[in-house]
Amino acid sequence: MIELKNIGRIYLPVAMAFNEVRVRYARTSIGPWWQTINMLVLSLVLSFVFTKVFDTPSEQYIPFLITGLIFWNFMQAVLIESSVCLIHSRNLILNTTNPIWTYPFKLVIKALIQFLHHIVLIPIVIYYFDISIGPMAILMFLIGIMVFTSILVLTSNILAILGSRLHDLEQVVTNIIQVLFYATPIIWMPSLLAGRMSFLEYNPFYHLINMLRIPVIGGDMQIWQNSLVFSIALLSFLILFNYYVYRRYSKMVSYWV
Amino acid sequence: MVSIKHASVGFKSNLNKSFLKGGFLEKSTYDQYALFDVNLDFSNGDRVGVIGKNGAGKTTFLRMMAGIHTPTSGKVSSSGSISCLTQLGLYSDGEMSGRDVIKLEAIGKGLTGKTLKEALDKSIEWTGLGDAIDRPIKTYSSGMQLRVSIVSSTIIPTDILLMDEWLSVGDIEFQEKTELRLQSLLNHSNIFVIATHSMETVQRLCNRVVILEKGRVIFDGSVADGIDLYRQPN
Repeated sequence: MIELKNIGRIYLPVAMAFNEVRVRYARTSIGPWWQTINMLVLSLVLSFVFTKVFDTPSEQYIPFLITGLIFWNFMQAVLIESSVCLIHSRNLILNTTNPIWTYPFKLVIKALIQFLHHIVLIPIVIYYFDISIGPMAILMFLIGIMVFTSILVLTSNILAILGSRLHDLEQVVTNIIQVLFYATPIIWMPSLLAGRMSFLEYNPFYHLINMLRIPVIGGDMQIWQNSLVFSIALLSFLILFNYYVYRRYSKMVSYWV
Repeated sequence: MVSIKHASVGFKSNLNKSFLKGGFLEKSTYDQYALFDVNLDFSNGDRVGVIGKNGAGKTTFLRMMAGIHTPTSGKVSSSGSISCLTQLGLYSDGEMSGRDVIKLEAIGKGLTGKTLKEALDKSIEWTGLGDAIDRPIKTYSSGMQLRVSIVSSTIIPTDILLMDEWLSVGDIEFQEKTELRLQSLLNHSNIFVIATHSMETVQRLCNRVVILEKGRVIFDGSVADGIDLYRQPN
C-alpha cells in the first residue's frame, strides 16, 4: 500500500488532519473537547436509563458503556467517511501528485486525534470506580490499539478506493454500521445473553471492541486472546486484500472521482 | 526526461450502466478517448507549448505527464521531480491562516524540517503580508489571497514544470512580481510544458509546440510552424 519511496509523504496527511481539526473547531472555546463532553453526557444519560432497564450495577455498566462508546466512535468516524473521502478530495487528486493513500490515512489520523481526546475519560472512569489496572493490562491495551488502528488504516484505504467508483458504498457502510451498533455489545452487556452468545463470535466488531475493552475493565483472558487472534487474522487478510485493491485500482481513482 | 509511448486515455461513455453489467473499467470496452496514441519525448531544455481547442485533451495530457492519470494503454516514464501547476489554492480554507496554507502546500511538495522552515520564511517575506500572514485567510482581500496562493504553489523549483495557462493576475505591480517568480521557477526547471490558448505566451516562452486535436497529436515541431498551422482556418 505505502510504497517505500513515498514513506516521507506521511507527513502531509498528518499535517492535513491537524489542520482540519483546527479549522473544524476554529473559534470554539474548548475545541475537540466538545465531542468528549458530548460523549460523557450521552454516556451518563444512557447509564442512568440502562442501569434501570437491565438492572445492572452502575460500577459494572458505566465503565463498560464508556469504553465501548469511545472505541466504537473511533471506528465509526473512520468507516463512514472513508468511502467518500476520495470524492471529497477530488481537487487535490486531480491537481497534485500526492499518493492516493494520503486521503484515507488523513481520515484515520483525524479520528485518532479525536480518539486521544476521548480517551482521557478512561483514567477518570478507572479512578472513579477504583478499577485495578496493572502493567500487563496497559501492554495488552497498547497491542490492541496498534492492531485496531492498523485495521482501520487498511479498511479505510480499501473503502476509499472502492467508494470512489461505487457511490452507493457510503450508504451501505452507514447502514451496516448502524445495524452493527445494536448487534454489538456497546450499550448492552453480553452477560444478558447468558448461554446464547454464539452469534457474537461471527461479529468482527465484537472482537475488535473486546480486544480493547477487556484490558481496561477486566474480563476473561481467554476471550481477550481469542479476540486478539481473530483481529490479527483479520489484519492479515486486510493486508493482502488492500495490496490487491491498491495495486489494481488506485491508478483508476483519478478517472473515477 | 519524459517519454510517452503509444499512450491513450480511454473511457466508457456510460460508466454506471457498464458497471451493472459487471466489472470495473475493462480495457477492451472503451468507446471514447480523451487522448489517443500519443508518442512524444521531452528532453532537458524543452520549453513546450501545448495548444488546442477546448476539449482537445490539454489538461488530461498534463495530468498524464505528471503521473496523476495513468494511461489506459501505452506508457509514460519520467525522471526528476514534477510539479503540476493547474489549480491555485488547493489546500486553503477560510479559517486557515496564510502561514498554514503555505506550510501545508510546502509539506505537500515534500519539504520537511529545516528546508521547510527556510522555504516558509522566504515565501512569507515574498507575500509582503507582514503580521496579516497569521490571520485567517477569509479576512484577506482577494489580492492578498492571490499572493498566498501563488507563493504556495510555486514554493520550490522542480525538474519538470507543468502549467495550465501562464499566471498573470492582480494589479500591474503584482503581475510583475509574479512574472519574475514564475520566470525564476522556469529557469530552474529542465523541462517546461504549458497548455495555453495564448499564442503570445507560446512565442515568448516556448521553443517547441505540440498541437492536440480531439485527443490526438496532430503537430509536433517549431513554434512558428505550429502557430501558423493552428491559425489556419479549417
